[in-house]
This record gives sequence, structure tokens and C-alpha cells, in this order.
Amino acid sequence: MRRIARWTTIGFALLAGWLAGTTDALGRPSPVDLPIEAEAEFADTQFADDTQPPRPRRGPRGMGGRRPQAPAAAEPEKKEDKKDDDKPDEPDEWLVIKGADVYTVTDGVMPAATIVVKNGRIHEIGLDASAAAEDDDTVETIDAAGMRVYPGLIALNARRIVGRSPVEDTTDPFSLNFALALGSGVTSVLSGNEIAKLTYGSIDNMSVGSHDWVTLSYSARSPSGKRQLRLDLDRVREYFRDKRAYDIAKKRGDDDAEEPDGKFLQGGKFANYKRLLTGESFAYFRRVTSAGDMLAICQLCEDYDMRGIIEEATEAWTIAPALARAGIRLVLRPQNKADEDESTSRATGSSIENARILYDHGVRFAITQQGSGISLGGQTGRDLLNLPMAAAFAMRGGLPQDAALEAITIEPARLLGVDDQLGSIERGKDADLIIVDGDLLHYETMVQWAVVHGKIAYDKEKEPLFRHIRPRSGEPEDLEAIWPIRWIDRSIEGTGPGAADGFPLPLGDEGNDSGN
Amino acid sequence: MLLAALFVGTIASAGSALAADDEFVVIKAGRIIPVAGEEIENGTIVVRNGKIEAVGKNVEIPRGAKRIDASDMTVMPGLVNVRTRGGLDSYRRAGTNGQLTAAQEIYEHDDMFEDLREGGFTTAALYTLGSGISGRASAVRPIVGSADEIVVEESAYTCISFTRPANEKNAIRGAFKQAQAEIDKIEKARKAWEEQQKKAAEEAKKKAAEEGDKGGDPKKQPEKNPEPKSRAEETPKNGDDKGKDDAKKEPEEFVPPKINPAVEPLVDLLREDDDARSLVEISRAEGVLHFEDLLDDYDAEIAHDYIVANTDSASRFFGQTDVFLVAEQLGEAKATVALMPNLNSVPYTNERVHIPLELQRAGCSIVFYPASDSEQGYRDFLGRIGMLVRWGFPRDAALAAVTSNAAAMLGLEERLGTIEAERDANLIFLDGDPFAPFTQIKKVMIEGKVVAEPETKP
Repeated sequence: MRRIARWTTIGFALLAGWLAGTTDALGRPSPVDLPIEAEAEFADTQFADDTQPPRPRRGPRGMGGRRPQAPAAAEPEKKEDKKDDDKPDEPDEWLVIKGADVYTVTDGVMPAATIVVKNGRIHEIGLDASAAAEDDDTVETIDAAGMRVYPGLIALNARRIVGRSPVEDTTDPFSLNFALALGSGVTSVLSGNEIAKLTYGSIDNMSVGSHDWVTLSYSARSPSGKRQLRLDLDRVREYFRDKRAYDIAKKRGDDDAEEPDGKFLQGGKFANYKRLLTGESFAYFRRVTSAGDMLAICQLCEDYDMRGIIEEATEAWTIAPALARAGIRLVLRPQNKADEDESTSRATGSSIENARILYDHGVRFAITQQGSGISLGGQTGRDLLNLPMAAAFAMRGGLPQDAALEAITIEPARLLGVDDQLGSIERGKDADLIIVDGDLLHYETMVQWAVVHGKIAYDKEKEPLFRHIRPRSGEPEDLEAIWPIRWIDRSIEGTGPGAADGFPLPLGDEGNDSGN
Repeated sequence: MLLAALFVGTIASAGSALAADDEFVVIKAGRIIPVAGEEIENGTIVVRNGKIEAVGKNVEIPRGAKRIDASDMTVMPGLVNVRTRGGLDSYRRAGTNGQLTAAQEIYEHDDMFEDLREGGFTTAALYTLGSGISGRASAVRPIVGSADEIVVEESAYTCISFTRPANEKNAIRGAFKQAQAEIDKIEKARKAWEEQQKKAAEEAKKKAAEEGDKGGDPKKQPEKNPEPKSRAEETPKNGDDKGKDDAKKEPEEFVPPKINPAVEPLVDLLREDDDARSLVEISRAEGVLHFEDLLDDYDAEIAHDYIVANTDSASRFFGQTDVFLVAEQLGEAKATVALMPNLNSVPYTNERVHIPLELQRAGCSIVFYPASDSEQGYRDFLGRIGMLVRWGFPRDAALAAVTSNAAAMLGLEERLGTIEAERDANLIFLDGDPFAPFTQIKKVMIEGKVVAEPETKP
């Protein structure tokens, strides 16, 4: 409750400030007064804390659809939605998930509810609206009584799952890593700059887009780098100031006013810095562990009024209030371990309570697992197959379960700016869901189905690597039935020795051809 | 082109006999497997000038025919190998090289041709090696002769290498784009030409009107100008008159601008030419998805078959490959898929999967090609298919997979692949059922001539 109250207060402050136009995204008076023009230009990209710019999406292509000629970056989102929902020619595809407890993440738990998915989007929760399906529509039903449905997990730290950009041209959607990631609950990954859905067996709807973070380095290890960054940001800010002064002077009719040269903002790092100072993009600080560096970043973000993300943040628990004040967001790896620095009297090193302390201070964070790929190379239990376990680890340090769940679903979606599509179970959002046989954050729980964009992308019963582990239908009496099948399948009629007429083969019963 | 090749082929095989009396060969066979239709016990095949004249139980035998007694043997159509590098080097080209054909690389004295014919292959498609669009495969008859005599069809199919979509998709997309640009270029030129013709016709009309009515000629001309063919017919009649006109006007026939020969096969594919075919080499299921995705950009039905390529793991008898994952999709499209005669296993497991059977059941038409380009690979070929038949693959489909389906893949189904009248007399004589493990090929006939009588091997 305390937390909700806190955020509500901030929300009101934000709303008021934003409406008045005098404060920035975090409710602080803006140190940079944007020129009128610039303000107008970015009016639709200035957002309150919770909402972020609508992401341009690469067009979802239906089967046999045409590729859009130009990159659909400028295309408004509405158009895309229309294309998806109102296909007059093609029959609709329905998927009904019945009887499971629905963990919506943003709207509590709905016990024994029904989720109806239409054409890849969540159409209805609670009612079985698939009755509206027409004759030629396909309706698929999953009976998930006694199971739980969660939104598909978003892995912010994933490598070698999808290919390089453009992902739909370079990814093998049948790869083992796809199946394994889906089997551990991950339905979307951030790989490089690309956000991709694990649409197993299809390359349609795979690409969600790319994030627009600006990666910065601001560390005590490079004082000159820090100085240069500040100088560069100053230059951009200077330009904004001059531009505004010029605009005002011009309005007054001062013809002698000199227009500042904004050419340097056209490309390169300054274009990125401009996006930072207008609040369009996050500043992303990778692998920051020490409290000192984090405090410096807090100061930087406050000075220049930037939205910052710090990744790793091992010592964040020691400076939680400062992080909260600067509105910094974090990407935590709870399993990360760092020893205490005994040469200093202040608190240092990692803490299992890191996430809990940050949560108590109202700092927002996402959680990722330790390793980026799927591997057992010295990191057993800490690779991509164990993203839920990373969240569970944070819970062990006192983080409430709700927050742990948010940190691997909706929070990463917010950081990536795709929370209008992914990260929770809500009507209208993409149907990226996992159906699991217990508490997601329990080590024994297995993903039974993964649904990506309305299609069943993973079914444990059909995955040769996992189907013999506690089968849904119960343990069979004959163990041989679930272990890998022998090479003569007697269930296929007409196979086996001598089955084909005319040429009895002099081979043994088990197909041993060494006799030849 | 087919006709031309056919003509050349007849000369090559029948040789000097063509001018003299027709050359007949009569084969008395213990069993005939015609592939098209029922098997025939104690049948007769009559061959005339290298072509099958008649086949059946009671066939009229021409006088003076050469006889082959194969009453203790089984006769079936010669095997068609849809993909071999036999006798060619292993240099891999990169990029779009549609202008190349494998026929240009042939070294006719290579031992490989002997291995091929002794293995029962009466036709083989040599392919071009490389990534992207490596060239066009050429169908050959493995006989002793010059390169010209060996080639049956220089342009059998366009080779598209797509074993690594992540690396090759962009290149192939670019090649198709280039081909489309060439088509657009021709269309543009044609439109400009038509426009010009219209203008010229109008001017001529005006002139004619000014000069007064001299005859019906000026009226006719504007109607007929846009059609080069009718114009051409007219040419000899008009004779001298036309010569005068020509001196003033542009050339009447539309001459399309030259197109880049490297993308010419793709232009043919995009234009849905009847003779245009392509074979897409994939190694995993993803290849099908990515290639169909490429084709989505075009309205044209681009003729393409798939071949599951000889990659390390897939070429072993129990090698791992996941092509069965797209069985449904391929089956729906009634695709033709060339496979090595292997029983595979599901990747990362010990679970066996009968990929040829799964694809066949889904509705694909299957073609088998030898797992290795070697004497050993050819000798094992039919026996390995026998294994697949034993584990459920229909025998009829297996027979078609090495003969008629394979011939269709090369666009030679009118000439090869079955024992029927009018087909080339490409036959193999076996001492038992073709797929039984101890059966040996005793005789190989290409276009009516016995080209190999392999010795009995231990």
C-alpha cells in the first residue's frame, strides 16, 4: 500500500507538472528550457514517467503477406492494428486457454479464468468469447485447469537466441536455443539492439523493433571520458539555449539576431545526446557495480535531466535513496556476487537484499539472469534457462513476489518501450503467454505451453528433451513408452522386417544390418 | 531448346545408323518395371533408334532386330541422379553467377562418368558449386564421347544455395531484386517503344491525310505496327515500298535492352517461363521458411524444388536433421524434395525419424540422390533406399524417386524416367529386385546402346 501511495503522489505531481509544461518527466523543474520550436517538435515524445513513446513496429506480416516497401518506422501504430484485426479475406485464428489461474501482473490474479486470443492478441479475459468465431475460423483450445498463466518473460540479457539484425532474416526459428528458451518461460529477448519474439517455427511477427537506449560510459576509471561527456552535453544544452534566445529575439523583430548553428546535432553522438536531453531516450550505463560510479551517474542524470538505466548495480542497496531521487532505473542480476571491500568502513559488496532494499525505496528495476546465453559452462543455474530463478533469488532476499514477477515481465517491457504490447496479460496486448504447472518462481515448476503471438510455440509434451519429465498425462507404467523411440516404429503399419512384398531382407529383428 | 537437345541426342546415339535402315533392339525381360503402370512378367521391350517403340507381353517383333536375352533379369528405367559433382572440381564461387552452367566445366574423360554409368545412372545433373546463385545445372548422359555428345540439357535448373540463410538470404534477395529491375527495365523500354510507334503512326496518318488518299497502305500500317510478328509477315509482300519507309523510320521490331546474364535465369523464373526451374539447396527446416519468405515479395509463381544438401550431419545414415518440421508446409505446397536415402534422427536426441516417409505422407514428391559422389556411394544407393522401403517408405514412391520424379526435377519427364513408348531407351538390367541388398546391376543401356556391363563384385 505504501508503495502505491507513493507512486500515486508522484503520478499526480508529474501529471500536474507535465500539463503545466514547466517540469520534465520526473516532476523536477527543467534546467534546460527548451526552445519553443524544439518543444513543439518533441511534444509528442515527451512523456510522463509511466508512458513512453509508442514504438514504431516493423510490420507484422501475415502468411504470404507483402513486405512493406519502405521501413515502417514512420507508420502510425493504428494502421498496423487495423491490418491485424480486420482481415476481411482471411479467417480469424482463435486460441482459448481454459481454467487456469491468470496472473496478469498489472491487474492481480484471476482464478480459473479463460483467456481468449484472437489473431495473436488477447481478445478477452474471463469470458469465452470464441463463440463468436465464424465457420472457417480456426479455434484451438488448451485445457489448463489447475495451471497458471503468466505473461511470457522478457530476457534483457540474451545472446545467440536470435540472429543479428534484421532478426527475421538471420534466425533459425527451429533452433534448439529457441525451444530451450521457450521451455524456460522466455518469449521475448533483447539481443543486441533488437527486441525479438521467439515465434518458434515461423519468422512472422518475430521482430518487435529495436530499443533506443543511448549507451554511455561514466566511470571513475576514465576521468577524461567523464569530462568529455559533460562538455558534449553542455554543448547541446548551449545550443538549445541559444536557439530559444534567437527565437524570442526574432519574434520581437530583432533582425540582427544570429541563428545558432545546429548542424552538429544532425548525426553521430550529438544526435544521441539531443535525444537524451529531450527525454526521448534512456541513457544506458552498462556494467556499473560500484556505489561511487552510481552516485556520479545519479548526479549526471540530475544535472542534465536525463532518464538513466544502470545495469548490474551490485552496490545499489547502499545508495538506494540517491537512486530513487534521481529516478534511475536498474537492471539487476541478483545472483551476482561481489566481495566486501574491507579497506573502507561504508557498506560495500553485493547483498542478497539488494532488490528488496531498492524496492522499499521505490527504485524501479528489472531482473535478468547472470549469464547471457544458454550454457552450462561453469554457470549452472545462472544461464538463460534460469531467468525465473534469478527473480526467485531476489525473493529470497525479501523482495515481494509481485515485484519479483514484475521485474521479469512488465518492467523490462517498460525499459524497452514495448509495454503497450508485452509484459502483462491485458486485453489488446500481444498474446505472449506461458502456461506453467505451479508457481513460476518455484524451482520445480515446468513450462507446459508457451504461446507466442497467439500461436503455441512450445508444448512440453512434444519436446523430445523434456516430455519424459513428469508427463502431463501422468507417469506411464511402461517407461519405454516415454524414453526415446526405437528405430523401427511398430505403430506404423507395414514397417518392420519383410513388410514390403517381394524381397525378404536377411536382417535381424532389431534392424541390425551388420550382417551384410 | 529441348527439341534441339533431343535432335542432337538422337544423332549422337544413333550415329551413322540414322541414314541407313532403322536400328532395332529387342529385349526379352524376365520382369519389367516400367514405373508408369503395372510390372510386366516375361515382357518384351522394342527399341528403335535409341527410343522405346513398344513395351508389353505380346509385342510385334521387327525383323532383323538385335536381341538381348534378359529373361533372368529385371529391367527398369535408368536411374536419374539429380545432383552430382562427378568429374568437376571443388572450387566454390560466391555471388550471383547465373551465366554459368555446369556443362562449361565438364571434363569428358573423367573416371566419374564410368562410375556413374556402372552405378546405373543413365542421366546425371551436374551442378555448379558455390554460395548464392552459383549457376545452372546441366543434365548429361555418362557416355564416352565429347562434351557436346555428353550434354543432354545444358540448363536443367538454376542452383540456389541456401544452406546458411543467415548469410545467404540477403544476397539472394538482392539477386532477385536485380532480376526484377531488369524486367522493369525491359517493360519501360517496351512502353517507350510503343509510345514512339504510336507517334510515328499518327504522323504517318497525318502525312497520308495531307497527301491525299494514295491507297489502303497507310491505314493498315498503324494497326499492325505494334505487333512485330504480323509486321514481319508483311515484310516480304511489301518488298520495295517498305525499304523506302525503313530508311526514314526507326526499326520496327522491338529490341529489348540487353539484360545482365548473371541474373538471366532469375528473370526467367520471375517471368514464369515454362522451362525455368530452380533447385534450392537447404540443410535445415529454417531454409524453407526463409526462402518462402523471400518469394513472398513477388507475385510470380517462382518454380522451385528443394534439395536437402549433403551437410556433415545429414549425410550420415542416422544423421541429424530437422527437415521433418516443415513437412506439413512442404506437403501443402506439393513440393518436390530431393533427399539422400537416409533414416535420420531428431536433432540432439537418439530418436529416429523417417524423413522421406514423413514428407511423402505429407504430400511431397520425393527424389533420392546418392549420399556421396563416389563409386561406393553409387553402389550403395539402391540398397539404402531398400532400407527406407523396409521401414515403411512405399516401394512405388521409391521407384519413382530414382526415375520419373527425378526426371521431372530436371524438366526431362517427357524423355526419361519410365519405360513407355517414345521415351529414351535408358534402361538398367538387374539380377533381382532393385532394392534388395545383394542385387547387382548387370547391364546399363543409354539410348539403345549398352554402355556398361559391370563385373560381378564380391
